[in-house]
Amino acid sequence: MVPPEGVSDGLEGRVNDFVQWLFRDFQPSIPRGPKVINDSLLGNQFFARHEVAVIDSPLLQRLKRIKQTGLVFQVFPSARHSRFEHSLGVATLAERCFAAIADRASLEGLPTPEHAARDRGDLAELRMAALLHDVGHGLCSHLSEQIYQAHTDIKEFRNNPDYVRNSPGEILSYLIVRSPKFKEWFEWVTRECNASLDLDVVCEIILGRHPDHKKHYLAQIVSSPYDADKLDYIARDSYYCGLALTVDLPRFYSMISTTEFDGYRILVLRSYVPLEQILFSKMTLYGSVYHHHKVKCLDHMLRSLLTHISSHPSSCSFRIREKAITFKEAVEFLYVTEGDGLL
Amino acid sequence: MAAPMPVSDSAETMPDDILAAILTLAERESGQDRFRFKGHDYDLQRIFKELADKFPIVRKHFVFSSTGPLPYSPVLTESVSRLQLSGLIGRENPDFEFLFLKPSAAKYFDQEIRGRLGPANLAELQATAKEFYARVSS
Repeated sequence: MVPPEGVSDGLEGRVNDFVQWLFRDFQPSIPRGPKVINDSLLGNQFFARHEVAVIDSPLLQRLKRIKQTGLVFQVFPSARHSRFEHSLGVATLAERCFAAIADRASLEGLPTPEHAARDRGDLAELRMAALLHDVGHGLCSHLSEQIYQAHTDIKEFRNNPDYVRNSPGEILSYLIVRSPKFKEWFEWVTRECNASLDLDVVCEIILGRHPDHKKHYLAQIVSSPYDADKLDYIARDSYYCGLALTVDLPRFYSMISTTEFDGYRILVLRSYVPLEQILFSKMTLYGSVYHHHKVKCLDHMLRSLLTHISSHPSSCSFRIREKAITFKEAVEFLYVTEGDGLL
Repeated sequence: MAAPMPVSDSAETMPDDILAAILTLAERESGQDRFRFKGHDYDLQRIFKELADKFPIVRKHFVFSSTGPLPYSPVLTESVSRLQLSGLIGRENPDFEFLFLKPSAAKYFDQEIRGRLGPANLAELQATAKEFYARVSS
């Protein structure tokens, strides 16, 4: 079937359409300099000039309208933090893990990361992947992910051995960052900011892998059982829900290291205590917050609404900046945020 | 009324069915009343990757990642978890190292799965179960 004019065929094409739609009225500009952003949890966070450009772009700004914990705020009223501050936090924590690994490696005479600058090389790519790892989230984060993962286009992608490990949200983040539209804009930003990083490596890190097996641990800092993503969301979600959960981060940093395994350099945690804290915190968060019976009830109400819209496209579809939304395709969940009046 | 979420065709075999069939047939191969085997995720992933390389029916239902240092099929981990939740398999105390088959697994296989498998699939699953048993008992 030939797709209608202006609509691309295939998941990758539809993701590129979304990025074009998002950047349509955006006036790109280069920031004057780096920025310090203060965070309630992590304190001062430093961002290089090219990172500020990405933060200012519609791709990251859109995350301000997506709550980190979906409908949890209806039960825990202060849980209104967004994917935006989480993404900034993951970039900061990823750098702290990177620095801790480099410290330990130099002490033990192990191979150390080659570059430690925020605007070039390994650290720059790691921070950029951390910053962009959640751009594939749509309306109510994981709730919409649970719905669109049943869509054929995403299912086909996830049946490919290259992507079988990845969640639907990670796949969409990867496709957004790899889209020709984003790539074109990003190359212009890095050129203007005199930064040097390989966007293909950034894409791979988002999926939890690295083209250089000796740097596999860099990808694991962003996506693994004890990654910067978890360190941030455990602290952030528990803080904003009012739960007293702790992961002893200084201890975690002193115990994180790398080792050689079957040709890969992988991340290891040299003490089970921080891992136990992560597991216990996750169990508490799942039991008390994410799977709270009233949260589940609200999730199902919204799920019914979205399913109803997709089953009655002629009477229930709606438009956001001229884009007709019917929730028939996975990518349509990216066009909608909680700031669009649906909730 | 909202349309139901997509579900599988009842005649279709799902990964959980294939896993339950392999484990039940392996139990029969072993001749034990209570079939138990080491069930660490690491061991099961490695064994099923080897089985997937050899048997198309395993390969079709359990897609293994082509990236990373270890073989990994998320569907396999999820299937083991679902068979535990539904009471077909259990884990032994004190360290949960061993998985064992509950009597309900054989009942489920005979009443629900066997009829949906053609003779060719059943023969392939029997061969798979034999190899599985050889690997977990060595």
